[in-house]
Amino acid sequence: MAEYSNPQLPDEVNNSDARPLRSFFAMAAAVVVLGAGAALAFAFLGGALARHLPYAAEVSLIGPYAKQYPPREGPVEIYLQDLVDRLAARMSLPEGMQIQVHYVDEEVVNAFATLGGHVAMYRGLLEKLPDENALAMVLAHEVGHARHRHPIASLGRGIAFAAVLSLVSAGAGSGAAESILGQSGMLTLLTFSRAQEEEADVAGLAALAAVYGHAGGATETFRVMSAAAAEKGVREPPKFLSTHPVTKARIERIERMIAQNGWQSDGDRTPIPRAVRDALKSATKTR
Amino acid sequence: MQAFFDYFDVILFVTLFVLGYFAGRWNERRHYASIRKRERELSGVLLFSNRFPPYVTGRVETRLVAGSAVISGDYFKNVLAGLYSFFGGRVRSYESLIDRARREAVLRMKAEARKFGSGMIINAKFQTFAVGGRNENSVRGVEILAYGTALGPAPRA
Repeated sequence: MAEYSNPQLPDEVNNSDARPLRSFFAMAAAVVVLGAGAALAFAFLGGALARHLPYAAEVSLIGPYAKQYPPREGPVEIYLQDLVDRLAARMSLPEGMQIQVHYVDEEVVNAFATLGGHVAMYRGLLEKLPDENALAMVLAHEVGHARHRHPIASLGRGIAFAAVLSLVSAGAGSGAAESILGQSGMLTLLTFSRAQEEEADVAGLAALAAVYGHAGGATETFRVMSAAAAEKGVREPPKFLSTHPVTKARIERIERMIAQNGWQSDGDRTPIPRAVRDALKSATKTR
Repeated sequence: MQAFFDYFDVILFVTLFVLGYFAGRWNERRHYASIRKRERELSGVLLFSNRFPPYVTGRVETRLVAGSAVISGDYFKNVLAGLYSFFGGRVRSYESLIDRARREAVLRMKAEARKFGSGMIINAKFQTFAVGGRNENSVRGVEILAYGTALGPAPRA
């Protein structure tokens, strides 16, 4: 038997996986890059396509939620709605779009636009605004969002992003989807991009100038918002992180736009009617 | 606490992944050490794929011997294999499973042959089976069956 032998094969000849962790991280990084690219592409497409959803579909989407907030007949509501109607008349809204203002009796210094042409105005902000012109700028800005269909674009973007995220993690994905589609989230948590904010500013400013014959009050709102934020101890984030254009840059941009269009930068200011002021005060007292 | 439940699937994944990596590595190192040791011990049992014995053996007793081994992957290997199958190329993380299963099966077959007093196995063949893997939660592994004809010591006349 001496002429026969089985040689000892070199070890691990068939096992080439010497650095599994390195291979893993290289491939995982590639997957993350691809996934992030897909997520961004989806979010972009979601936003871009949602804009082309018929407006009637948007209204029926928000229908069940809107029913919980029927128009109310208080002095503040009537005043706000009348003001919005005057502004909207100058904003060439898409056909069938009706803006409905909701007055929210809360301290929050904010206003927002959401699906179906619904705009919410908080008492906190309303009280801080010096006159009707400044208030008109806030409302016209929000109507500008609705006019350019930003809420539905934002929703589409959010849903598309959540869909991609849910491929990675069911928990995180459904969490994101919930916060977008959830009842309160749908109404208040829609976020707009900086470009959308600027678009809304342009539309709002033009309407303001058209209604009052001058652009007075256009920059006050942003000073008020920024002061309110400072009060809460919130510093403005660096520009590239912020969705709302940073106040100073935003005011400068608005002033530039006023000059370019040859609008009067200021003129006679219209006060907020006494009856409305009183209604706000009594609301504050009763709580 | 809420975050724990919200991201339970992520936490589970990371836990299994890390556990799979360390446990799998430790296991594999131990197994390879044992394989090498026994391969040296059993190097006296020769293995041939020829159907007929070398002519020098003369008349001997024959017996069917077999050895089989099932080796499972770990979570880390499965994830890595998923990535390999996404990008294409060698599924390197499964190569060690096949290698270990084949060598272990041969060792078990040789051990059986030695028990019988044999110093040679001829006509050795292999069968490979994938274990599980049909649904996501099943164990994924590989079974290799080695079988052959052991030539025993010459019968006492």
